[in-house]
Amino acid sequence: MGIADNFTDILSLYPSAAPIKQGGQKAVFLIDHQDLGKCVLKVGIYSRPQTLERIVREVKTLREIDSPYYPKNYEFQVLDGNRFLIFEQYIESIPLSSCLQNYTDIENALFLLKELVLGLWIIWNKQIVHRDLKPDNILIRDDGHPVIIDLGIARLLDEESLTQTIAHRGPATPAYAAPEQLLNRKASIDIRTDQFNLGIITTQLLMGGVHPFDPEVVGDGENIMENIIQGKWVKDVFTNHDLRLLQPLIERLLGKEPYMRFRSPELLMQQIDNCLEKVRR
Amino acid sequence: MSIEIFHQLGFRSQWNFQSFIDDNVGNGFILAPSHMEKTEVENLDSNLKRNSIFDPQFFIPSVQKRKLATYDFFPDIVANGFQTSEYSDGFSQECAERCIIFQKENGFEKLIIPTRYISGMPSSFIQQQQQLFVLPFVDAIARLGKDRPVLLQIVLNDGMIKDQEFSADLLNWITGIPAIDGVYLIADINPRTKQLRDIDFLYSYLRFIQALSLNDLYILLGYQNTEAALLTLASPSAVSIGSYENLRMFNIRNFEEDDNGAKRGPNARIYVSRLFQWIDTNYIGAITRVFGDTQLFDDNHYKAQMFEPSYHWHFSKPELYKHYFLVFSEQIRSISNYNGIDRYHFLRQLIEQGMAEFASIRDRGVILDQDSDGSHLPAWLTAANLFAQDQGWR
Repeated sequence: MGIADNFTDILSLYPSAAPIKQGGQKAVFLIDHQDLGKCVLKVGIYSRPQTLERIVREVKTLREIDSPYYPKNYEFQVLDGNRFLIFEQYIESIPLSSCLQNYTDIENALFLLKELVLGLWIIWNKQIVHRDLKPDNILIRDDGHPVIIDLGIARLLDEESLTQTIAHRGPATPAYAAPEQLLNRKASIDIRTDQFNLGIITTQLLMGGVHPFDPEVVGDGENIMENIIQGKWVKDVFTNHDLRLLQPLIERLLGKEPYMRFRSPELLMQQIDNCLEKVRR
Repeated sequence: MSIEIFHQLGFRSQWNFQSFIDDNVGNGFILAPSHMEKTEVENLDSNLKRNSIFDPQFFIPSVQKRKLATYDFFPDIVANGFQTSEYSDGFSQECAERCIIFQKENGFEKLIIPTRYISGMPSSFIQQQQQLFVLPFVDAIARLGKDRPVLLQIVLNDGMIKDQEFSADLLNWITGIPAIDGVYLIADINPRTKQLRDIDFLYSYLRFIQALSLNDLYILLGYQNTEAALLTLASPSAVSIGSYENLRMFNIRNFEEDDNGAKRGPNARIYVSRLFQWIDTNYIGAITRVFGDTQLFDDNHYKAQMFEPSYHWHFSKPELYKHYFLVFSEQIRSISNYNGIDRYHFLRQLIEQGMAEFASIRDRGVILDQDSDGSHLPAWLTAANLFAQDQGWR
């Protein structure tokens, strides 16, 4: 039985609902809404009040943001039986994970990175860390501009963290997580955590989809997570000709500790612009 | 990149003011309320204050010191007679507001977020500093308007700096505070010899400073002795110079209750830039005799005064310190003419020359005591080499 089976009453209202994604606690559909038109329906079940609170935060955040970098949130409802639903803007796009090969060119990869930083800057200004940036959570519109989705585990730094202290790992996708996330060092998680995630994604793009911490390419380590914690990645790639000019940028993004990364979005953007300028020269 | 020099003020601060005005030494001052009453600070020439910072010296918030009590923002005053050994959330907001108002009204160049002194390496260190100082002061600055750079003061002991995990947490915390523009860093490494010679500490401190520097933060190193010359390798923005020893090495005992008991004065010492060392003036005669001249000692008008036969050497004489201010600031200036690897090579050369000078003094039969000898220089050079290795400079 899938999660969607708990929502037959809702889904029956949208006979054309097409599943996009199904996870443990959440399912996403593309629907035709009578008022909103084509939009995304997210349904889910929460088991703990903290989870609901987290979802409420996601919604609150999205509502405050009016930016092409994020989908618009139309409606949020809490239903009986610990259920909830969200109507969200549908964006014609494909996930970055399906088009990694379009970004092996340095200028394209840098352009995408710059766009992502511009998008993230909006939530960073609100002291929100996305904490789960990965190619699946980045959509590419037809015009090439990215949209950042799934702020579900982002948290407002001003608020008390909801993550249980006893959890071995903070909420994140391990292969894209920063060391402080994997080690659950909650006090060290801030906007620079997202920079690490961006560092992995950018390097992966430049390497045609290969994960920079993959033991097979690193030639050392047991798995990606261990290599992330140990700071072992394919630094050699950036000592080669064209990619050398990106070395200072990537090395800082993939700094093992947050203090090794960029202290502010301004400094990060400056470095990206420097690289872009050199590439275009 | 040039390195600024701030006079660390304390007892006999007029010497520093004179050095600044008459000899053009330094960029400004670090004012100390434990040595200056509030009205004294308020009445100070605004031109001097414009180039200065005010260190609120909250190191021991419950301490009762006469001069500190003249400031209405000092925690013990805000507590208003309550017997409290704790500087709690309740007081911190009020202290922060009043303290920032004072700093702004007096026109200081930068605003300082003070700190309390914490010994050992408690796991709650960051949380305490964040809760009691950073948050209330950042709030107060935001409320009152941020119109000048803000420095966070931190006192760190050698354990905190040497422990990789602890120092990484500290760096993550400091560099993650968006509201600050820099750090006023103080190392607490007592008990210690007159010169720092703990290689691990020096190397770790260099790395710590450099990590802050790479984050584009302004870094002022307070309570510096001559090791400031070595620490320039990590590119701090500014270093302090001070007259008496208690202004050249931080010691929390100096901030405890007023002690009116008689103290024995230290031996008079003269700074010799070629040796990176303060030499007990007892050796001056011997050194002059074996070398046949006084060339080892740095020339300036204070030297001319001090080497008059009628001069009575005494630790409380201003010439010793004004001579040092002039000589050491010139030494820092010459080092800061170089950057990165060039600075390392230049400094290494100076240290090696210093070691050779010490060897020559010894060869001629002058046996300097351990407070005047060159035993710190091999440690400095080793720390510099380790640091240079990390940077790919050697």
